[in-house]
Amino acid sequence: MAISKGKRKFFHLLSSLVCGTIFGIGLAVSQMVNPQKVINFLDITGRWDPSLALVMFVAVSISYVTYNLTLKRKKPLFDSKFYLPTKKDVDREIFSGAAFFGIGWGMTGLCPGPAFAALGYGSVRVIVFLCAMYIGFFAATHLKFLHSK
Amino acid sequence: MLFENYTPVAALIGGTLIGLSVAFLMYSIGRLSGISGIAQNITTLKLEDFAWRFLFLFGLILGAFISNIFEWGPKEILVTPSDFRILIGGLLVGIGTKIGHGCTSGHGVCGLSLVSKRSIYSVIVFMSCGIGTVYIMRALTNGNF
Repeated sequence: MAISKGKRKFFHLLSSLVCGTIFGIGLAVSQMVNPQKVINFLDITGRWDPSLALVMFVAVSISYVTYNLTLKRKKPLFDSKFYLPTKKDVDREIFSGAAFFGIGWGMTGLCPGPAFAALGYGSVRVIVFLCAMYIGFFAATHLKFLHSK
Repeated sequence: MLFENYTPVAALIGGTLIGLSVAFLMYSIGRLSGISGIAQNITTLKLEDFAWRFLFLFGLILGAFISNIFEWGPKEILVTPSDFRILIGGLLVGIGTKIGHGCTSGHGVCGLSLVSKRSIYSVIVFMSCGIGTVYIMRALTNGNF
């Protein structure tokens, strides 16, 4: 089924918007958009709330099956190829990056997705988080001492 | 009562929606739903690279906004840490996700779905650090966290 380049571009963008919206609804319905819910999950010795584990389990299960089916195809519907990570080996950056991320996540209960979604709930405080996050992106990119390259 | 805040049905439905979103993004445009990556790579002058990323992030906000209106999600969002803590935490998340090439959606959902060794290690490390950090914070603030 060949469609025109213009139509493909339109559906390319529409798909992204739809996926983002469903993801946002998913974050809200699962309450992952509420950082307190995340903190309660990480609080394993306190008021442990396993909800996040269930959210991840269900999401991973679905994408595991669908990725396996989808990646057997030649290409996605509206693009020329699948964009998968090229790095395969586990390097130092994986560990240090995850450590920094985990600490920041534990401190705030926020990570990128829910932080954006929280804007949809009118949360003004996440703007501080998002700005700091972008400063962090910039710092990590340009301050070479933070990582190997 | 054990698991006093546990919301299994909400988690099930929400997780399903997230899974479907991730599935369809790959199926339709061949992309991983790693939000830290999407947020990082959006800062580009190439319209092609910018457009779908912008619409995805806009969708995140829109979806949450719709959920807010229809009360599908939490009644309110409690961002309890102080501004200073949010600032430091945000910095660490920014640095960490850039260096470590992913976050909970990137490594946690997409990476695990691909059974990526990198992602498995990443998840183990960030979960441990998250748990450890909350433990320490609760201890330091006497439970008021």
